[in-house]
Amino acid sequence: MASGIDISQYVQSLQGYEKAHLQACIVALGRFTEHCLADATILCPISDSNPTIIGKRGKPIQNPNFDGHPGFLRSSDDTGDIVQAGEVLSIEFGFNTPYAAPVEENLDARHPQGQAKYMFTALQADIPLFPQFLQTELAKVKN
Amino acid sequence: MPYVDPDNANPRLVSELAKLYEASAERLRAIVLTPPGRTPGAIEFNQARAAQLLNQVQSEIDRLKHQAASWTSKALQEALQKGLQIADRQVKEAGLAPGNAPQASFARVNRRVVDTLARDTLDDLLKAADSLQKQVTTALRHMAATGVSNAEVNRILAGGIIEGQPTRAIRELRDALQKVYDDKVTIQTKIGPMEFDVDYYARMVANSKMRQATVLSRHQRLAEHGIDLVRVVGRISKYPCSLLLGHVFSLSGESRKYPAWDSVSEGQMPYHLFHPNCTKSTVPFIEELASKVSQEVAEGRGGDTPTDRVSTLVEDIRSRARANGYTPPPHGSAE
Repeated sequence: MASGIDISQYVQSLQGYEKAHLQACIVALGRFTEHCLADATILCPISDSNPTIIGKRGKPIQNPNFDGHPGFLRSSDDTGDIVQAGEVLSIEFGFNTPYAAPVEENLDARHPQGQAKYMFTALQADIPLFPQFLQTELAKVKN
Repeated sequence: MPYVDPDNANPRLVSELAKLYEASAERLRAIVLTPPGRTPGAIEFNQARAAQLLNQVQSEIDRLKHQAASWTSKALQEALQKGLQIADRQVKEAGLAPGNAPQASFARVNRRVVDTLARDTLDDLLKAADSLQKQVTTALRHMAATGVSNAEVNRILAGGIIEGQPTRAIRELRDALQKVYDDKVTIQTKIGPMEFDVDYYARMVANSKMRQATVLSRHQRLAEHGIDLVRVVGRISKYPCSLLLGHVFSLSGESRKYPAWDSVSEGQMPYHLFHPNCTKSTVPFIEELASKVSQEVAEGRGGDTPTDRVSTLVEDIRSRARANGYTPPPHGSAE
């Protein structure tokens, strides 16, 4: 009497798990990146919207914190596509203006609202959250 | 739908998008070949950034046109490679690519916004274009009556978005208006004809429309990530829309906890969100990742005034960074 166990269904289900886990990682990375970018946006400097202000002598003067396009830097946020290279998933995100990098790096500039190192501060605050978040998202697949 | 699929899209939309990218590609090629700047560092930075942008723009043109890279000039090819190498080096020097962590960038072409502007040009009956039309104020809606067409405005603004150059876009729009008018432009509004300074009007149109397009495309991007909640952020100003700062809304309107985005997004009173020159915008709010403090602000317990709520959110991020051993630089808090 021959006996045997057909494990093809088991293998198939394992492959299914692998795909589901990868998908969960992709979703988690995408959502986490959006969270980091949101915190960077909250810290990102924003200029005044009025070209003139009332000076000390009570007369209107040119507003030094007016650049003509308030909120453009904050609104230039974007995330790219998630790229898989072997076992590594990566995503690029950031802001798109020529002054985004100088504003990030110049520690001497004084901003009426916002700060230098707006991206780096957000990353320092958020990156430690990622392992726990990923674990929770993967646990959802298991359940 | 992430981006326009050339195989399944309206051919006019594909051609409009290709045109928008081609215009920017031309300007970026010139920067790559002869980068501007007063110092060697600035020249290197401008060339690297233009090279990064041109690389993305060219892939987008190639994708839309189904063709291989169309570099023609050897000098440009060499300059582009050099620019990309400088960009790589700068990223490494700045420590911005820490292994597998998310990679920060300061030269990312926002394809979704360009897409939104192209759809608006074609007056496509898609939701995005429809919402863009709904959100514009009367003063902006009459832009076409100034003699500068909607397509022309969108072309100029798409260039500003692709290259991240709002000042150039505003200047170009002002020049286009000045060809029709001198220094003043008259616009029909709800209360009758109003005269605007051309410079002011160009700035108002550019800032307002670029903001509308970015908000719409951001919400499309968030939907792709399955994110439904957004928080209102922006400058603390004297306008009533500042009362919404820190509050959270549901894009689908299906949340039981947070009000629908539609309840404030079309300029409803008293907030009048997205008035001309409004600096408010949105960021995603992900409950599973939000700190306790951030959730309290979302639930209306983070302070009574907009200033309190913004300060609470800012201090929360900064204190979490400090807890991880980093001391952030000072933060301004305007009122």
